[in-house]
Amino acid sequence: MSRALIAGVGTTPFGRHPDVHFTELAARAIELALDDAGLEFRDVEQAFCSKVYLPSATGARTMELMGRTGIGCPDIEGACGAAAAGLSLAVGMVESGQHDIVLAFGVEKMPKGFMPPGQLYDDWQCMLGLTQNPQYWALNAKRHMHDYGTTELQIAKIAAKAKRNGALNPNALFRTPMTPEQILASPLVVDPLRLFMLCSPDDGAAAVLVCSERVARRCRSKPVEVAACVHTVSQFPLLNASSFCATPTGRPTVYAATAQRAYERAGVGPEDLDVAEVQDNDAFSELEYYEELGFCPKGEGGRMIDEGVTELGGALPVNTSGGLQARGEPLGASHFGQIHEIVLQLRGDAGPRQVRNARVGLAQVFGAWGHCGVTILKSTD
Amino acid sequence: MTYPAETTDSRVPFRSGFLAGDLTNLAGVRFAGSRCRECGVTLLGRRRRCENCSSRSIVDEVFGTRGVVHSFTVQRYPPPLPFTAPQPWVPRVIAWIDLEGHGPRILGPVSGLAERVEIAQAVLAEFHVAWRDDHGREVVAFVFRPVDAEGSR
Repeated sequence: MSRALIAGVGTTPFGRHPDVHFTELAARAIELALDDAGLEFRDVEQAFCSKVYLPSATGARTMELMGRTGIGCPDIEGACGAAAAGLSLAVGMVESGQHDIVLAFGVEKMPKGFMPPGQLYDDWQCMLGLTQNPQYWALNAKRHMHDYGTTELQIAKIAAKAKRNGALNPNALFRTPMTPEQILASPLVVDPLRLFMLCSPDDGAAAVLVCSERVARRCRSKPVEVAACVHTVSQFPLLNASSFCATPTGRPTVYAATAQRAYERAGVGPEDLDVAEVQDNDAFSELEYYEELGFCPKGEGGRMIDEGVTELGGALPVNTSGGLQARGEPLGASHFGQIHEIVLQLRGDAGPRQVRNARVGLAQVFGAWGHCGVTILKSTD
Repeated sequence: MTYPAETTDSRVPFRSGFLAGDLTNLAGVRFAGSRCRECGVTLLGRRRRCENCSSRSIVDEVFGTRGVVHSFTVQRYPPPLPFTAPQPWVPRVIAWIDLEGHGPRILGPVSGLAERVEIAQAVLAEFHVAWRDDHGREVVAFVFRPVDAEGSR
């Protein structure tokens, strides 16, 4: 099996782009990734377009702007995990030796507020009003507080970290720092989660060029190795969106199970990580993922933030980009946005957000109905 | 008991195969579900296979109406359309409920004030006409009501 490397990354700012067509957004991200690698679109042998809410043939429509070179470019859908699904296919094609240059990109344009539920929930769930994604995170937060004594202040500290890091990221939607007190003063949306603890759906595109070693070595930018890219759908039970029946079985969560497979594949453990981007669709979920991804034992997520472990300058900075809370969430592009940040970190190009000597990074994404992706990247220095 | 509940010209279950009993007698309606003969898991709704282990060896089961709160939250804002929110909106509790007798853990709305609900709180499922479908038929759905340990209040 060949190694797959990331030779180029590109992203638009994640935010509001009301007057930009989605194909134009996608093309901007693809052009940036091509420039980053020093490759031409004619060099690309296969593409995958991750998206959720955009219409049929979003990828093929993007070829109208990039050039109809005759390559395959199916749309890949996997709720908020769509980009991990697309990336895993691109990586698999390069690892298998089928292609040397595969483009994986994602794009989305989302309205503000609760996501339109028809795409993510069954009709009866919509009619029962069980369709606020944050309700699931709130239910998990409430139980976690009950079982482990996690506090609202700890959750607010994670939100404040996101805003602080986002202020350093020119591609973020929210760039205004906030204190935990300001966050705790924002309105409750689903107890105990408040407005400024939640990510906002938004617009954006991001692209990644996955290449064989032969090609990556002659590319313009320093390549980064894809040590693992695992995408799975949750085993039963799923105690998260959009589940309605989650009888306990003792099985690990999809986050823990997917991470375990990625760690094994990459030959590293959580103790080897220098930097991570996790699915902070809300501040509590980030705390939960510290535990589920093995950054700390179960129940100690609150301690991680209290001790500053996951802050810039801590032992394992998490969501240095500002995470979904600061960048917002263009579903199909979301994991590629995380990959963009980890690649910058491993190259030493993250500017004021740079983690010193970062060599191994992890990105984790989660989507409705149990989609989960974990990608582990390694520096090639 | 009729399993699953039969759709009539005037009434339908919120999801086919998820309710048991006679839908014209709401007091007698129950949750329809399944129990896996291989792994033992209980699931809401009549199933083709076990969602946990994929076994085809599953049996129909009617679950009791009592349960306890595993966790809960309060919807401070009305859920998005097509849900029809009462005007004005009154914050509503939703909860993961563990049904009695090692029944399934299911998500549902809880009636009454948020202050009345806590983790491990006992609840009782009640079935009611919740909306009308596109054919004008009444749709029977459920809500959990907080009760004291003996089942009254």
